[in-house]
Amino acid sequence: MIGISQLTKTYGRNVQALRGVDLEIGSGMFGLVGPNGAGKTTLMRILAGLLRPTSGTVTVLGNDITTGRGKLAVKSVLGYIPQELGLYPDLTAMEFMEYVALLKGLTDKAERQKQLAETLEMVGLSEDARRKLRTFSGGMKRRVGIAQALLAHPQLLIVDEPTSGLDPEERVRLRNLLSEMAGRCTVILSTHIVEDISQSCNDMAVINLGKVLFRGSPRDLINNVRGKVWHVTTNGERPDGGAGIVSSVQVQDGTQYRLVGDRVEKYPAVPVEPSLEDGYIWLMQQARSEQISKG
Amino acid sequence: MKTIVQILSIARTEFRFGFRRSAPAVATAVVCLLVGAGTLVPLLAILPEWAANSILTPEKIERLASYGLSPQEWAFFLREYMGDMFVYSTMLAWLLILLALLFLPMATSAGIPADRKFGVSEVLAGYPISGSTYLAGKVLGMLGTVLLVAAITLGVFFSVTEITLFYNLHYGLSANASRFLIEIVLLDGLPILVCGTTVGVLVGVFFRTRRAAIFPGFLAGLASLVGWVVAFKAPARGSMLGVTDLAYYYALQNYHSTVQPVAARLGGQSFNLFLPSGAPGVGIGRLALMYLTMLATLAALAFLARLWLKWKENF
Repeated sequence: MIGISQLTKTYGRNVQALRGVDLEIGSGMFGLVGPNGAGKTTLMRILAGLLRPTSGTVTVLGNDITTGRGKLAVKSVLGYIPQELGLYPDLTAMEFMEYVALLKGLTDKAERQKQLAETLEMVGLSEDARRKLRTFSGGMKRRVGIAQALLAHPQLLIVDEPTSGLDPEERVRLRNLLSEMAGRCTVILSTHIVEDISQSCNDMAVINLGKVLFRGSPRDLINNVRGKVWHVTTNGERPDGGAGIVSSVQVQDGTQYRLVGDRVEKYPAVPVEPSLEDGYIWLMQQARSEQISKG
Repeated sequence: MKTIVQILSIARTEFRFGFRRSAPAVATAVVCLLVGAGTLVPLLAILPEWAANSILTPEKIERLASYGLSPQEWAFFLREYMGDMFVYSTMLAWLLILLALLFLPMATSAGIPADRKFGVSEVLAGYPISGSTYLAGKVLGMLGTVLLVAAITLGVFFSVTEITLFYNLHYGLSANASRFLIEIVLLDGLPILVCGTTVGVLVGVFFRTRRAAIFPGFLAGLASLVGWVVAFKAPARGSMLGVTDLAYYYALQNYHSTVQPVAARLGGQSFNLFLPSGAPGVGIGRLALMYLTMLATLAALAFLARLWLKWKENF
């Protein structure tokens, strides 16, 4: 469905956002996770045809995104929700959606009205459709973002950091909505929140400093750290050594740390079942060590 | 068909925002208000004298007869004279429409930067629309705002003029004066408003924020005004008409005054109230060349704006 080969993007003379990315993305929900500044948004914007790559090839549904014709062909089957979602504050949700529907080529009035009603219902905004967008909460605006992307039945949905800044309930609602959509079209979800991926994606990649560090299923990433995740309880001091700290919790007899690493020295450690977050932290740790060793 | 619907859809949204942003509507209204007031005030000033002249006494009829004029000819003269005065009053007032070239680019340059400010341009760029469609929609929408405000403002003033004349004088502007009015509005006012608005919207493409676009919008307006006055200057040197443009001059030279033969009999010598003697004529070909030059300049600017969008935003 999407083929990315040797993709690079350089801003200015020497800011390399992407450094030779190779990816094949099939149907279903694909998660792209990485720290801030990893190159996720750059990759999403290239896939959506908003940014021209410096080199490499990108084909989406058989269309070369670097050509004008290919770009328009992709955009006609694309639903895109950018990281910084912009809406006209003076329009109502319905006015904005109607505007989007026309831009997406829904010229038949009956079909347009039907899709508008369906999508607003799907995101739970039917009741608020006549309210001005300036009065919407962050979560509601995000839902408008999803609704506009779903108009005209896209075959590809690109969602960039959809849950940042949302309260837990809105995050869950949004994740469920995207999972539901993954049954109808390919969804690419970019995020720095590992939990979003673990809850909804069956396929994923981890990206850091413009390079793909991992490509596989969430289960594969978890399996990579099986036997490398530990609980260590100390009387307050931070455990140093090779292991990375995933979390810390105050317990009755001190502080319990969750560590990820090949082994834990100096402290009695209890092996525990790994999570996707552990796998991600371990991967980042490896990348950092490699970077340090390269100087 | 799909592209036309997309252009109209963008235009409709921009049209609404043109009013909400208020600067394009206010700038247009101020310029048209000045033009309208500049035309109306001199007419109102001469109205009392005119009304006094329209009352015929036996002595006045006798005096008219000494010039070989009947009361019917005098009534005709007075009516047509008001039409001439209307045309005459536009000779100075209509110059103010050129201010639209100065102010409109500044007032309309915020349209596209506003999309960037709200972050909507990022969303729009994900839809199957080309940069050309986007620009066409933006220009059309803003033109809709400006032309509607201009039509309302000028319409109100000219209606007041007509009503004032109608109620005071029992008839309105002469057919010749009305035709002249339509000609200057369509041949001169409309192109000036289109030019000022289009320049503003297209200049906005090159700037990320509304604030950043204001000063370049002003400079673009200054360039438009100077360019227009220099390139399309009327050929009547040494008179007030020397600073008007070809389109106004064309309409004025085509204005047919029926008053002047009568005035010549009254004054004892023939004269032309509007054009200086020996002023060269302007043909329709020269006018067409003026419009072609204007359209070519706007097309070049649109081309540059399109290239910029493609280069900077891959749009």
